[in-house]
Amino acid sequence: MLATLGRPVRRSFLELLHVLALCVHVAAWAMRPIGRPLPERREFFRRLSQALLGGLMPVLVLGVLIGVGLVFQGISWAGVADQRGLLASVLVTVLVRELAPVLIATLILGRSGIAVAAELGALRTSGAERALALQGVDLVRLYAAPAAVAQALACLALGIVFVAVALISGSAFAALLGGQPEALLGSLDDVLRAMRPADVLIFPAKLLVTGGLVGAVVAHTALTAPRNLRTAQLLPACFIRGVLAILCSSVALSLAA
Amino acid sequence: MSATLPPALELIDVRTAEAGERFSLTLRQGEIALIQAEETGRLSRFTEICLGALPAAGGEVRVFGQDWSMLRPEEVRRQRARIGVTFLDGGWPPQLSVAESVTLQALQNGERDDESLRERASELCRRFGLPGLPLHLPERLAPAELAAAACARALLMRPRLLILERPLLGGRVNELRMPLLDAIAAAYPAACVWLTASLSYWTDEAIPAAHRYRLGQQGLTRVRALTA
Repeated sequence: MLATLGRPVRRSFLELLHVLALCVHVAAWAMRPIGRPLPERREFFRRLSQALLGGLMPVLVLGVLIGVGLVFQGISWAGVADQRGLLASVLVTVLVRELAPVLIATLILGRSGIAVAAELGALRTSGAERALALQGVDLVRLYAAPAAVAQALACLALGIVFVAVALISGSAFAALLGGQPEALLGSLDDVLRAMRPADVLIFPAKLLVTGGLVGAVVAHTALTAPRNLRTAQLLPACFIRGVLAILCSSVALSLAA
Repeated sequence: MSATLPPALELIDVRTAEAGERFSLTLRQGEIALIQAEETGRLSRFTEICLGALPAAGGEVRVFGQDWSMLRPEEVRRQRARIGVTFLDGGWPPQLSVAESVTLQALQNGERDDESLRERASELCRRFGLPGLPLHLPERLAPAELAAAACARALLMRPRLLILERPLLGGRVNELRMPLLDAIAAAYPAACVWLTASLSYWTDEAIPAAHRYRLGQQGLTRVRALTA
């Protein structure tokens, strides 16, 4: 009975420790100033362009949608209730601190993380993963670390673009449709003024951590999956774990701040 | 020289999870062991045992005197990097060019000079009949070209132990036979485990094998002499 109850708990705890160890490995790889072998550098730039270029258009669309759905509505209602000062701090908390990191990391997971999982799955089924491991090639350095670092940087860059697009598009809609021409620059200025030092730190930190975790969790799941696991089973597992990692890290960082 | 050094590969009464399988082998520097199995899956499993990737249920697997089970993961990787291997299924990562795959092991294990490494790899590829180091993705190369590149990859780090899983693809790339034998001779005192499913290679007297073994359900069985 005890063993039955304890086994999954113990396994989950060990998985968590593995992921944390992988994160340390990834951080060490990222801090290494020079001397990364050419294939690792090439893999990093390939992943970075995949995440950045592949994610840019969806982020612009998402930014406009959130701008219209959240910022424009907020400006309109704040104008009605005469609470513009409060609106800025609500936007900082909801949009900048909470929504942007979770949305962008989820988008990175879907757009780039799943591609990493599929490629690592193909590597496993083709026998190349076995060959690389038997040659003493460190798969974490070759695949997981470049993917995690590239996705962390892409998440940061796309997160900044997303917030800017959401604020500008929402304000522009308010200026055009709401008959409040001063709303465009005013609301942007208010949002910047409402940001406290903690917000300035937590926003990039959340983007970097959630983006990096997406890469690390997906790579860990794909590299440690049993050999007989099909790609159709691997991808949903990667997605679920990735979403859990994003939400957990976002909540943990919010509480820490 | 070989008498003072520890054996390149030593399997000391190794048992696996499969009942009845036992492996015992001592391969000294400069020696070649020719091992034949009917099923190619057994060859792959044997490679994994030799490289410490398949944990033994009993016994010891030692490479250059070091027991795999006593090494930390980083040491395992370093030790494996000193061993040249060709793989049954090629083992070419689909998104890396063949040139990158050939030099990857060396670059990840301390080799800094990419240029000289590529020169050495090109030279080895030419020795195996290729025009140079292939820059294409593996999917664009013929099996014979990949087999030649695999031999170059195995020999690039000047290994002290070679494990060759069906390097001639069961006779489909027989033109590699002589260059490979020359390369093994040039790599002396490297030891070599040559795994094959083909009886004609296993009985090939031109391969200067110090030991000939059969790999079957019982594990490794030594064959003392070949009949004419």
